[in-house]
Amino acid sequence: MYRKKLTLFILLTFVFSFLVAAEGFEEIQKSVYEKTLPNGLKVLILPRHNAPVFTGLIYADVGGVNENQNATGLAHIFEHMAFKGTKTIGTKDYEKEKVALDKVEKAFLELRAARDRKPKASETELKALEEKFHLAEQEAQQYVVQNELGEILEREGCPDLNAFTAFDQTVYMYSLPSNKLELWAAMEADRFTNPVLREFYKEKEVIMEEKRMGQSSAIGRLLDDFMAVAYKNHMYRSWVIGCISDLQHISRTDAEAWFDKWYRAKNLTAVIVGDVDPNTAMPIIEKYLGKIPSGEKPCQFVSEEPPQRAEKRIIMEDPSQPFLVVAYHKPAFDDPENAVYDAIADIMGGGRSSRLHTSLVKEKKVAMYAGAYTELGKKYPGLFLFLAVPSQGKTAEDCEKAIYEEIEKLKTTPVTDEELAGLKARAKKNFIQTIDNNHGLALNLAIYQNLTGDWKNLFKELEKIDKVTSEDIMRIANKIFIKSNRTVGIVQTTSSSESK
Amino acid sequence: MAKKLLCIILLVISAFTLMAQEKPKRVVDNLVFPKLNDIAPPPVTEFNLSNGIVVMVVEDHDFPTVNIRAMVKGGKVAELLEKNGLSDLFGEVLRSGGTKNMKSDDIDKYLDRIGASIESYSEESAIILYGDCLKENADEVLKLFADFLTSPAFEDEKIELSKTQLRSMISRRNDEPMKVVTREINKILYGKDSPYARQIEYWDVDNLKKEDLIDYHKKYFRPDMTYIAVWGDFSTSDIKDKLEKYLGGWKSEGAKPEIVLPSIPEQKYSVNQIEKNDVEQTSIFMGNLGLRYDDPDYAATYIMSEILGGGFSSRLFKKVRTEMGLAYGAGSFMSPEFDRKGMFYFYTSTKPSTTSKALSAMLDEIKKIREAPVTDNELKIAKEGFLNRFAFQFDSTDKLVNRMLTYKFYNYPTDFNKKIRDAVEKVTKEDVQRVAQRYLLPEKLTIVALGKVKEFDEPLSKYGTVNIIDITIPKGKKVEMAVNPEAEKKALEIIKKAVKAIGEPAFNSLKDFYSDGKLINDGQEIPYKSYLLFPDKYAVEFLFGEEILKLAIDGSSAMMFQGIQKAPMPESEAADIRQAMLTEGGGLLLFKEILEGKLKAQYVKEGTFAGNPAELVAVQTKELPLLLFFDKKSGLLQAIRSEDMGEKGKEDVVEIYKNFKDFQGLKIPQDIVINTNNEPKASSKIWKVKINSGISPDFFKK
Repeated sequence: MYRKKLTLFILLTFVFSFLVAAEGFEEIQKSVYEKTLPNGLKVLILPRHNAPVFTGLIYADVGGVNENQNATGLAHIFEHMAFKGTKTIGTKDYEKEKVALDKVEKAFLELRAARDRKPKASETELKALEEKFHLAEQEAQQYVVQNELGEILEREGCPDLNAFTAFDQTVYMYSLPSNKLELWAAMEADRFTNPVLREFYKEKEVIMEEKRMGQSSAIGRLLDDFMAVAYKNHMYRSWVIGCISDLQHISRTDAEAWFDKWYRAKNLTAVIVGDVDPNTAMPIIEKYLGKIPSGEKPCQFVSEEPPQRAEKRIIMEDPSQPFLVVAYHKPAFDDPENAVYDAIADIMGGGRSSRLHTSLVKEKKVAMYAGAYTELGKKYPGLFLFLAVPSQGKTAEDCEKAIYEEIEKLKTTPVTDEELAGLKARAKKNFIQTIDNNHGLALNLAIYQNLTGDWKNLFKELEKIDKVTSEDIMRIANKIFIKSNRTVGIVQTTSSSESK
Repeated sequence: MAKKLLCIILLVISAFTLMAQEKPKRVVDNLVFPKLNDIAPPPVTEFNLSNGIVVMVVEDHDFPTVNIRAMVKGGKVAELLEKNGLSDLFGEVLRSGGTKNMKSDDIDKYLDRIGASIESYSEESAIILYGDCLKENADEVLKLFADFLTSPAFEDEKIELSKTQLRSMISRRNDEPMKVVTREINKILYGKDSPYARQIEYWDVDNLKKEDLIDYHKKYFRPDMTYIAVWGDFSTSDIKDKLEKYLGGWKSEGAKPEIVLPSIPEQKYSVNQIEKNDVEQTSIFMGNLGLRYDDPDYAATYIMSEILGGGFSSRLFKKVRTEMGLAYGAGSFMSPEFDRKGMFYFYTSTKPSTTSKALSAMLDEIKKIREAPVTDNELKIAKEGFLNRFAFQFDSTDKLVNRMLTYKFYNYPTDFNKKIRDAVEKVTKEDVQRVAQRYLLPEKLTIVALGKVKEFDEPLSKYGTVNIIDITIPKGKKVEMAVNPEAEKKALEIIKKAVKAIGEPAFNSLKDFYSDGKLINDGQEIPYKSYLLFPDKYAVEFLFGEEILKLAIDGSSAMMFQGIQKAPMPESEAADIRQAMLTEGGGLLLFKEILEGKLKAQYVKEGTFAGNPAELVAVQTKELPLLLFFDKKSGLLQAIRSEDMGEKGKEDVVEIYKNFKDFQGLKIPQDIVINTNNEPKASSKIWKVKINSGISPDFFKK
């Protein structure tokens, strides 16, 4: 069990992880209804009648990667704010509330300008401005009906109200009993047309607590720093949650500008999977989501990461037990050879007989867990990761050495036919486990639609995996697993052995 | 007539105006939902194999896979305290140790080759074995699955591997703050030795043997203790034949073993604090005794718990997160069990400077829900939410069949979830208040907070006497000291004699102790200064040229300082320093703690040390058991022996005190030699001692 728990924990550190391959699954593909609404919003509906429920999802093609240096964390802040209601949900009287909210915003911008001033504003001035801001906040608070959006959905049977912001996307996803499709459409249309970012400054405090929570473990602290070492120009360098000073600095006006730019119909995809009839569902969805303003598809440019010149290494001394992450830059998800990277990750880290588990856990006994992942950063060139959790008394360096030995073998000796066959069988079963539930299907349809331009590519992964040869694996391994393309992150248990 | 018409027109107009003035209703309030499609789960077929194994089968042809899960009575509750950790080890090695028909590594390769998996683990009241495969491999995988149940091999090498993994888990168990807090609160709520809460120590792992696994398997793994569910793409009759073929011949022998469930202790109010300085937030957990699933109060209690801390609309979430902005997560949940009472938990995590603020807000909410009835709207949201979510209990075959299997395993009716639904429909506001008053007991609450104690906005003592929980991971061997008043009395006499020998008046007036010396290790000399301020502060400064490394214990906190940098000490090092603190100056603090009853000491026997007659006394400290050698003639403490975990496993460490010299009326050993596995490994020499020089308590903080 502990092995399983640990694997799960590491998987959860990233947004999600799966490896795909399938043979056909034509029936599912044929059931997908696809439509682009006149406003440009893409809709996918996939009926599955196992139980009278459905999962609905809005995928915004924007994530942490689209932020700017001085406003990190903005994508995630907006995601939180999308739960605060609209002009009609979450308010006692919107007309009056709007006046009060504008006053709050004016007071904050004044306060912020004073805080940003160089040389510094006087303490007295700051105090007075803070006082004014807090009074305005209190005044606005009287019009708020707290968490009404969540309350309506929970009352109607939503078991999993949630959303997530990743490097590459922001996804709002939850389920309802299947007779409430219209409620879903009405709620989503309302919050992505008329969002009111009330209680904005309170919610930022919540997000700062979320940040602190993530930093309460050494692994969380290491990964935060690690990305900034692995990337120097590309925005994957900044972990989605943002830095504290930016969180403090961002205003409601900033978040509203973010919404105006990124949440237009042309940048959104809606997916419904579950017990719905597409012929009746599509008009309902169109009636509501069709009203979201069309807008333009925003520019996707993000500073490119230049080729890495030398190995980079970050060693974090910490009282916690050791941990190792080794990363190599790899191409984006839509690279024609992406399946080869997935294949390498699976041969190295998938299952009890995988190369890393066999070598590091079973034979050398240097790690209690070792794995390989391709999922960090997809839209733009991302990272191929190796992770290891050293056994008691073993160090991250012991694991690092053992991982390099396995990488060397991969570069010099072809993988066996046996391994290739296993890879393909596992890919098929993993694929089934990914799509045998409404959530997994909805999310993956949206991801493939947005990152590859066509949801149908989800079902082509099998063919791609099937075509992977031992030569491909050796070639790619030799291409990316080179020292100068590598970043190593280590949690090193601080040792005061001098005291003994 | 015209007048009448005018009246009508006026009436219509005014009606229109009224309508126009009324605020337009929101779209979401006007939606009319169609009738929900029927919940039509696939049929579950239940039967017994010829040997009595209970089997539940569901056909699901959506995807070409077959899934299987077995629950065997046993688990943590079936293991003896003397074999703590056995079920955890069993849960791992059942699968990893191979079968009598196939070697473990070959199984791993085989299963990976066909994209199948079989895994196992231990729960509190069951051992679970589960697996899945593509349908074309169902026959071989079912056979293998049956082999794991009936004839596991427990290969020696894999037992060792799992023991290494268990030890690694122990070494890492304090790295995740929320895990620490939940573990510690359960040790208080259930009792530290309860199988529902107890933690495994290194010595427990050392104590587990292959025979224990074989015995455990023999005792609990039998058809009349085994329940199996199979679901996926197959025909029921075919699966039935296969299970009969591979498992039907397995026989139960002898009487069915009794599993006695542990009792749950009476709950008491307590405030508990864990100091941890490498975290950004304070983790707060509180607990109260809850109830079993089949308790008649379950439905009302569930609704109460939802209103108090269940989701976005709950009181705790609204108060602590939305309104006060103090936390990302805040709420409560109950953990009912099928065979015992579970607990109510209340949790949040917040920055150190708002610890007490968040804790007070939570306590207020607990009180409020007891004192006044919930609102109609709250009751409505909670009840409708539950009833509307009911359909989700059937949205996967996996959920459906495992729920049925679990009901069967714990002898609950198969439609138990429907009974709960009916009960929830009937819950009233009065019910909610009644169960709040019955189960939420502020005067019996257990409160645990972990974090940077020194940065809390208010000390926890505001909430009552604070128990300090030490989460240091104990090393070495456990010595169970049986109660033996005779041996304890004798030990005290020996200690008193030693105190006389070093100078009783000076010892009794000790407030602080300073020494200056050098440590010699592998030929390298490191000058150091040590500071001991009774009763709980200690620091050692090592001088590396210009650099000073300072290690300081201040009550429960252990910090390292170097220049302007400071960091919490890792636990193993903190434990070493605590040990050094006890033995400083030849055991000054050790003597004090034994004389004050803080540490337990027992006389062992008379023996010899370095050829001279000696009295042997055993002491159990938090980290390690120590064996003390006192010279029979002079009464002086001559040596301390302990077993420690070194880089190459267990080490026998003996610290020898020599060359006693009088400093301000106190005899202190000037030379200390440290032997490891009978080889002198290090030594130290003291040349200066100052007693009661007035060391400031602040010295240990920076």
